Formats: sequence, structure tokens, C-alpha cells
Amino acid sequence: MSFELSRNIIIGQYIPGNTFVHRLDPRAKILVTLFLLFGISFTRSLIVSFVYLATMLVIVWSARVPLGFVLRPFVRGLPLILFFLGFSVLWLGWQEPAGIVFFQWGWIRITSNALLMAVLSLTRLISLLLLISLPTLTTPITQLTYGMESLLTPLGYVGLPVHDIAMIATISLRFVPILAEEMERVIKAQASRGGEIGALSWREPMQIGKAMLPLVVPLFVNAFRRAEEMAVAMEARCYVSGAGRTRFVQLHAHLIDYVVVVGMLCYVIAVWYGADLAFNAVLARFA
Amino acid sequence: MRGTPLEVKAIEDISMEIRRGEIVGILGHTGSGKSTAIQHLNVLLRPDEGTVLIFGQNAADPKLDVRSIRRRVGLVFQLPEAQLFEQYVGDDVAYGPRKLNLSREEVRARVRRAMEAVGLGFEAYKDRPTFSLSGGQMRRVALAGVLALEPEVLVLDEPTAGLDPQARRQLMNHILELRNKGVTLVMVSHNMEEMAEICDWLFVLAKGRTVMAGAPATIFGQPAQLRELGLDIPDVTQVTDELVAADLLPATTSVCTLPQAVQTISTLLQTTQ
Repeated sequence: MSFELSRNIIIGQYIPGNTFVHRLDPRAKILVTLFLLFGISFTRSLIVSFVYLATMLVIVWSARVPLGFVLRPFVRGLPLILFFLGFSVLWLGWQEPAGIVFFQWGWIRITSNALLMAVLSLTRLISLLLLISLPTLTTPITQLTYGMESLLTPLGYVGLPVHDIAMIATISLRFVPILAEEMERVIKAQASRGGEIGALSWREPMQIGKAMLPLVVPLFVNAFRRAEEMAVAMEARCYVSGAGRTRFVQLHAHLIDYVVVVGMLCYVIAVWYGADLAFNAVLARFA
Repeated sequence: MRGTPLEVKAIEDISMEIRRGEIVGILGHTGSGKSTAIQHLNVLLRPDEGTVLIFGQNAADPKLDVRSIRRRVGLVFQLPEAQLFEQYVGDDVAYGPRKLNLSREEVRARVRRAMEAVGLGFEAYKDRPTFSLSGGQMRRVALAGVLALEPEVLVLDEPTAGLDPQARRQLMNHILELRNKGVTLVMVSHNMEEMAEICDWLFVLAKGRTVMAGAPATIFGQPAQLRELGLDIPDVTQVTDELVAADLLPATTSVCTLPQAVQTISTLLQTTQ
């Protein structure tokens, strides 16, 4: 039994450090994240997704972020993930081409292609989790949103409220850990009054659902109150959206940032077209 | 945040013993580990190292019946008014007792007693919408919610912070009444006057350690040490200390509440006349 909710929420946390990944310009980080996001999401090749998983592990290692920490939400969600994977293996069992049929009993059929899809989803999921955690883990949130705003500037010319979008993103990211902490406090307060949450096991889903309800009310009330207080505080500082404000943090892209962006773009393209070819070539040599 | 890069050791070396029927105060600078320490008292936190014994039961024991401990040790958090959730005052106070599987009449009786103990009339307030109350009233509702469990020990984290003087006085009176009913009290506060006035025993924490422990007179007799820890002594004590320094009072005086000061100074005036 534990009440430490916030330790399971890693998005929005920042782990200070001074590695190459930490020092990279936030705009470069966002672009690279996008490239990798496309690469990981759209590949249907197992080889390619393994290459990406390896790539992500290398990046996580070089950023000195403990792997166990990043993977914590994955481990927590593992039972659910495995359930859905098992389900999709059964679902895909009747899809053609089936490959090798390993097992068949009534309507249940387990095929090699369905299993391959499951492994593909799993590696993709882990890679994506590592990918989306990294920018916030290695970049202070203000820098990240300045980076986003700066990247979106061209869209401002066609009437997109770029500054507002960036501001909303900053605030929401900032609120994730705050709300988690708030929730923790409310749970503790209710546990002190005989509430069950934290004393229940996951085998009692109905009771957990019922016990969640009294948590949601104070959480929402507090969230609204905080939002209102923040609006007042911003008003008091004469905040006007995008009124030509100067910044405390100035972003300067260095040569290395350009090199990284172009390099990673080439890498993603190369992996996209090359990994399967290379693998087949190696395979052919040994066959 | 155990097992993460953000792990912090909040409390390091704390030893305290809380005796039945006493009012125990915990003082300390912001971030000294007070709130973390008191969360051990009803097993919201379990010690990673060291021992916590509650009514002689070890808090680290995984087989411990946590709920029965929480029933006997009530904990009121900082700003408890932010944690109300029911629509009506009566329902919010009844949350705890209802979880105990008591009869309807018993729940009702407990809610009535708890609300009356904090000065909220049962009939007048039970059907009021919770969120229409003032801050001070909401805090009393929250306190009543814990009192309705009828705990033997009540732990209060800065119960009077942010209240106006009148609400503060009323709340302190309710708390003192509880002591007379035999409830053991543990209080965290930054208000030195309050602590000096009501506590039987004080613990001073700094950086997760207990650095001082003793009766209020002993603790507030060491102003230099307290100031070093970023704390203060009650105003009355400051005044009498100045009087001692000016040789107007005998050097042995140690005063930390207003009635004591009145007595000391009036005897002084009588002897000089």
C-alpha cells in the first residue's frame, strides 16, 4: 500500500543534468522527437522497430535518465497491456495472411503473424513511452514551450494564436504533477477518515470505483480554484497574450543543434528505407 | 519518491514519545519534516528505517490493521477545508462514521456530537451546502469530520493557520475541551504563544531531526538556540526577558504565557510598593 502517486507520473517531471541531451536546443529536441515519432509510429517492420528501440535506449542512456524510472508507468500498466495484447493476438488470429498456425482450438487460432504484430506493438509502445518522456525529463518546461512557440511562429502569419497555444501547453504540463500531489493529499486525508482507497486491492474494482468518487470532487474544486487564482495572478501582472513580451530565457541554436536535427532526419529516413534491406543482406550472407 | 532520482530523505533522526492524555506540540522551520513526521502517527507513511510504535504496535509490520489504527488516531491535515467533498455539511461529517458500519442512529449521534464540539449547531448546519460556508466554518467542518471518528489521539497540522483571531480563539477552545475529555493531542503550529499556552511538552525539529525536547518553559528558556533554528519565542517571554536583562525581574523567572506574566509582574509590583 502506498500513497505516492506522483512517483508514477513522470511526464512533466524534470531531472536536472548536464548531458549532451540536456544541453541541446529545445527546438532541436522537439524536431527530433517528431521525426522519431513518425518513424516509430508508421513502421510495420519488426526490424525497424527494434532499431528504434535500440536508438531510444541509447538516447536514454546518454541522457543519464535511469531506465527504471522512465519505464515505471509501463511496468504499472503491464497487466492491462498484456491483456490487450493477448486480446489482439486472438483477434488477429483469423486475419490472412496468417503465416504459420501454431495452435488452433475452436475459434481460437494463434498464428505467427498475429504474434509478430503483438511483439511489434510492444516494442513500439516502449519506444514511444521513452520518446515522449525524454523532452520533459531533460528540458525545463519553460524552455520547451519557448521552443514550441518559436517553431510554430510561421503558423502565426496565417492567424494561429501561437503564443496562446504555447501558454496553454506550459500551464497544462505544469499542472500534471501539481494535480497528482493534490490527489495524494486528498487520498491521505480520506484515508485518515476511514476511506478505503489504498487499503483496497485491485481485485475489488467496484469498491475502488466507488471510493474514487469522493476524490474527484475536491480535486476538481481545487483545480478550478487554482485556475482562477492563476488567472487573477496573471491579470495582476498585466498579462496580455503575446503583447510583444521579452524573455528571460533566450534560445540560441548552435551549429551542433542543426547538425543533430539534419542528422536525425537522415537517420530516420535511412532506417525507414535501409534497415530491412540491410537485415536481409546480412541474412542472405549467412544463409 | 522512493527509487527515483528525485528521492529525498525527509526525516533523518526523530525520536519522540507521546504520552496518553498530553498535549504535545511540534515546532520547526518550514521544511523541517514536521508534516512528514506526523503522517507516521496514523500509518499514512511507513518508516523505511527505524521504528514507529503506535499503541505498542509496530507500524512497519505489514500485517498491521491500518484502518483500526486510523480509527484511533485522527489526523487533520493542513488546510483541511480544501478536502471537503460532500454536498452537505452533515454528509461530509458523516463520511467517517458511515465507513465504520454503525447504525443510522449512532452515525447521527456522532455527527451531532462532533459538530457541536466544534461549535457548529447540528440542526442549523447539517443541511447547509458545504461550499457555501466561509473558510473558518469549512475548517470546523473538516475538524468535525475527523472528530466524528471519536479518535483517542488527535493530530492537527497547523489547525489555526490563516484564521482570524476570533476563529482561532474559538478553535483553540474547542481543542482544549477535547483535552478535558481525555483525548491525546499532537499539534503542529508556528504560533509560539498558542503552543506555550496549551502544550505540556514540545519537540523542536530541524532538518529532519529532533533537536530539542522539553516542557514549554524549558524550550522557550533558550531563545538564542530557537532563533538559530529560524524560530521565535512568545512575545511575553521576550518582554519578561528584557525585564530580567534590565534587572527588574529576578534572573530565575521563566514565563511563557500571559497569565504567568501577569502573576510574576503583579507580585513584583506588590513587593516593591
